[in-house]
Amino acid sequence: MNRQILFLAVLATLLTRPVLAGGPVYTRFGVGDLLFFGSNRVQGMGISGYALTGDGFINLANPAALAKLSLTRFAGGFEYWSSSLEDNAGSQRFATGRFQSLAMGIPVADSAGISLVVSATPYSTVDYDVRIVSATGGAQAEQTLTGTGGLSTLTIGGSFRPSRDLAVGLQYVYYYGTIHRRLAVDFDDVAFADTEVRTAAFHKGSGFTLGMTYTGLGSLLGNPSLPLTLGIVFTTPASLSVKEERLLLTENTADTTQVRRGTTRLPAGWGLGITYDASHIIVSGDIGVQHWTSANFFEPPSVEVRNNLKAGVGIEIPGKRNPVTYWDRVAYRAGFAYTASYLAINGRGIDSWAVSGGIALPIGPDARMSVGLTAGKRGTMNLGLSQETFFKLSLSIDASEAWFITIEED
Amino acid sequence: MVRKRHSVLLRFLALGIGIGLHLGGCVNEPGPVGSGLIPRSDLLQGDSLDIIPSQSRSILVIPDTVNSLRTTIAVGKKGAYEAWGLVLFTNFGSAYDSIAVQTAELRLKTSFHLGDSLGQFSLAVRKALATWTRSTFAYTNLREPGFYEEPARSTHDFGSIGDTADITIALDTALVNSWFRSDTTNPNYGIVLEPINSSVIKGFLNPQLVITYIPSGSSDADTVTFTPAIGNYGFVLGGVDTLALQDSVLLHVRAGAASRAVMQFDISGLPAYSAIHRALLEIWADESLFDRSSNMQDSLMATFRDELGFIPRFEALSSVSGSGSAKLYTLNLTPFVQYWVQNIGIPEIGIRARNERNGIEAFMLHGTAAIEPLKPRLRILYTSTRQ
Repeated sequence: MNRQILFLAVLATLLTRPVLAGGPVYTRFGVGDLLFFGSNRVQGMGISGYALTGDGFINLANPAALAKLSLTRFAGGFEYWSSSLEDNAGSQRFATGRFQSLAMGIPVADSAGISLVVSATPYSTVDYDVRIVSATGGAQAEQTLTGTGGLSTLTIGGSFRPSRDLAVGLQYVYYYGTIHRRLAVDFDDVAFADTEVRTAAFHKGSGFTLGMTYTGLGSLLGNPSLPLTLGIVFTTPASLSVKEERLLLTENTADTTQVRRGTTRLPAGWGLGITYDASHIIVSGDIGVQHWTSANFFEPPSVEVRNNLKAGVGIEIPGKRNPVTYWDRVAYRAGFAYTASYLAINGRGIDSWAVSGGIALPIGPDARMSVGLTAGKRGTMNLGLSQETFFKLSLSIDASEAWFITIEED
Repeated sequence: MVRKRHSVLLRFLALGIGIGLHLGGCVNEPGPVGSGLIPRSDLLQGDSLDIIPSQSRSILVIPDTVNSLRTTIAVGKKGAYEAWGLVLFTNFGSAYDSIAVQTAELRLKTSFHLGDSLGQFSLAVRKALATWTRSTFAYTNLREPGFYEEPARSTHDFGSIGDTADITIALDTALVNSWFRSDTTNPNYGIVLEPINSSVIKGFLNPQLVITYIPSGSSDADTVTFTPAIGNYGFVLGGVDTLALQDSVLLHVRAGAASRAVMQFDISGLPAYSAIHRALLEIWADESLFDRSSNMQDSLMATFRDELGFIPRFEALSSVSGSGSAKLYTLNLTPFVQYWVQNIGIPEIGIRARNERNGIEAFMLHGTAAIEPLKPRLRILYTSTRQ
């Protein structure tokens, strides 16, 4: 075993090349890249989770999916993301690690499907770092543009099962986060004063997510034994107040007096998913749309905005119900996702596709460590655009605890 | 079973180590990839604005006391200029109380000149009858009746003096003896060095008082040298045409008897929150109208102003190009304008000679009333950061 560890460590070291803590310039626009995180399970299955239910995970994609929780459950994870961006100027690698989610689900009345959930997840990310050499006022200057931050969500919600097949859920979503941008101008000629402009746009606002799952779809289709689940999710628009502070730095002065206020209006969205859940295999498919053409940005993105669409399909081989070996308890996942982002630049939509896979490894009586891998491409090198090849490794841990369970005494 | 689970965890531990090593290899160096997608409006483009001062004038001032200590004495005449020296030796120490001075000499080391360096040089030594303070004393104060004693204690004709020569001036021993006595009816205000029959102004360093005296209990004379405190010697310059300060076309900037130029700027043409990359003030001058003693450097200084006045330590030094009637002084006012656009300070500058106190200098600068090509111009390169 020690030799295996040594081998992997050496391999990782040899594969290590200098990469940049930054990201694709596409995150410059709007509120940045949208992160669709339902859970590590949903990620591994091609981001298809609207109709994905089960007791063993917290599904953040659809609040109604929590109705099946029987034990208090905790989940948390992070991801390592690496990409290579290529355009006519060359190619560059980026890498970063980031928090993925933290969630707790509490079953309050198991029989009625009443559960509560609180969670924190990133909603979008801004992460770019670009250097441009240009003549500024007749002097050669290097301008470095950097963006970091993004929006996150804090949610609190619950589920309720009014009938055997139908569950509904409602989530209050608090959006918050800061998008930092920095422009540093460094003149070659020392006679010119270098300048730096930093902006920090603080966002906050709230909205709701409504969801339902219906497990009687087979009956509606005339085959009650068909284990089909329908999931529908609707996200309300959310108006975020924005306060932007702009700091101008020169070699002699710092000015903090520039403050702007405004709003960013996140659009409504809906999603539809279907899951086929046989005991030995689970297949799930999703489609989701956000009406970004109705959105309002504090800082207009200066490129075409269109509606966002994501579609995914995934498969899971769950662990065996009567395992003999450790590996009988491991779940395997795979999926494919296609996303048409809300951006179109130079007349071309910025689309991406990704394949994903993952495994869920039992690490306790009712605890799992899920590892997901996603690889894909985004954009194109045509029309002056950039193409991104990305790779993502996500790691999360789910565990449960018997809270609020009444144990009857003899 | 347990062993296998352990094995899986160790594998992931190894993977984590690998990721850590990979991240450890990251460098933080941005590159050009993706730059084509950056909106042009995100970049600072740079714009330029030329501002002619809305007003310029000359003012008479006491030579700067902050940036340059007075370390020279000047005496002599050149044209209308005449320089008078002042020296005060005090605080000799209790060991010399009431000594009997046998001989007394003032020794000076030649430092600079204005005019023909080998011109005729003579001076008279007079006793000062009133107090004087280096930071406020001017030529007009010197010429007030009763400031110095009549007649002169002695006169000295040196003929020509070399550029680095030391000169010795014999002082009246009765006068010097009085300096070693605490006589309140005959206080020590020092001596005045008056230029007479001179065609050159000479500047001197290191004034020294050398005396011989007979120490008590001894029959042999002893020699001792005293130097004045930094604030106790200097010079004032007369013969300056103060009416010239009313000149609307030329700005008179002088050292010795100091005058400065003041320029006001209207920066309303600059967008608020502009990033100022460079601001150069160009001032044209006619060198043929200049006077400059040999120790002065050909440069001007601009001084920032706030509500309390000009700030002596916040200054910009000029560079110079051209010659004759097309001499150009360039002052880098970038920090000044950076403050002005943030409403710090007053958009007005003072322009002075670099060393107002230790030499003699006269600049003639073209002001805002000059013909268009010769007007001073503040050339600003800026970017509006409000997008």
